[in-house]
Amino acid sequence: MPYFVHITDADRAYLNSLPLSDKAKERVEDFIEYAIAQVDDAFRNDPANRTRPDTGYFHTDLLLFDVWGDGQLHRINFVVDDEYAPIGVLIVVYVDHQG
Amino acid sequence: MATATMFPGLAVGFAEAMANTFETGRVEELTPEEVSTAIRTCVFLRDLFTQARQSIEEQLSQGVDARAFAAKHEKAVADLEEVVKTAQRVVTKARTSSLLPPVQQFVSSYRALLDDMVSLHQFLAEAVAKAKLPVRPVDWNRVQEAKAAYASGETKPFQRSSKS
Repeated sequence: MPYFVHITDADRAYLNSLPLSDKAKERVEDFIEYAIAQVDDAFRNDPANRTRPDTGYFHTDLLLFDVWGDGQLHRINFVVDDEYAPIGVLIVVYVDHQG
Repeated sequence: MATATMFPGLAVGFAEAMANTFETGRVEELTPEEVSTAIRTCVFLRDLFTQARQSIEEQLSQGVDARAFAAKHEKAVADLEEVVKTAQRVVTKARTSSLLPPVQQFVSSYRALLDDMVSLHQFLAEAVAKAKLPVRPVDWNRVQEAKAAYASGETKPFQRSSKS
């Protein structure tokens, strides 16, 4: 069962405003659906994927080639709060785009 | 479909054999059949490099986990760097040599192969470097604001906004 992924309006607006083509933005949404909503416990709990110094979150990074837009590589870092994972909820608490 | 992790060994072997042939002066002893085989090998390798480039671009355009991508392709970048250096030695040597027309034809094919290798290496090296960029410091204030928003019921379940 995938998790319910919650996101703030601010982070949603941030994602919508990224300098990516519409197609690339679809790939970002795909990533949220498969890499976050369907994240497995092994990935979440891998120390390499926990934030530092506060290890209360996991992070996952998307690398994306916007072949439909600027033809550049983009990287988007998602920080996710999994405190409520036992009840099936993950919260995207931080998004950072490195163009 | 070929990927960059599959075939650098083939290209390395070929590049080293050609470098050895040029550096020992045996290039003038190549038979027409050997020259023809060398040209066909260039064409074959160029096709593999083209497929690899397409495969990597396709993966990246779908989006990949950055760290997994770096781990998978880091060695290919290093291998390609070596084969490019070796191939550049061959091309440099050929440039300063007086060669028979059939060998010149081979060198032309080899130069085209080198261009493809350089292009793939640059693209892959850039992608791996981007994948390995240190994550920028997290703005913990934003994290706390997001947590507070969830606690007060202000977050929304993620829904796609784009048409798929």
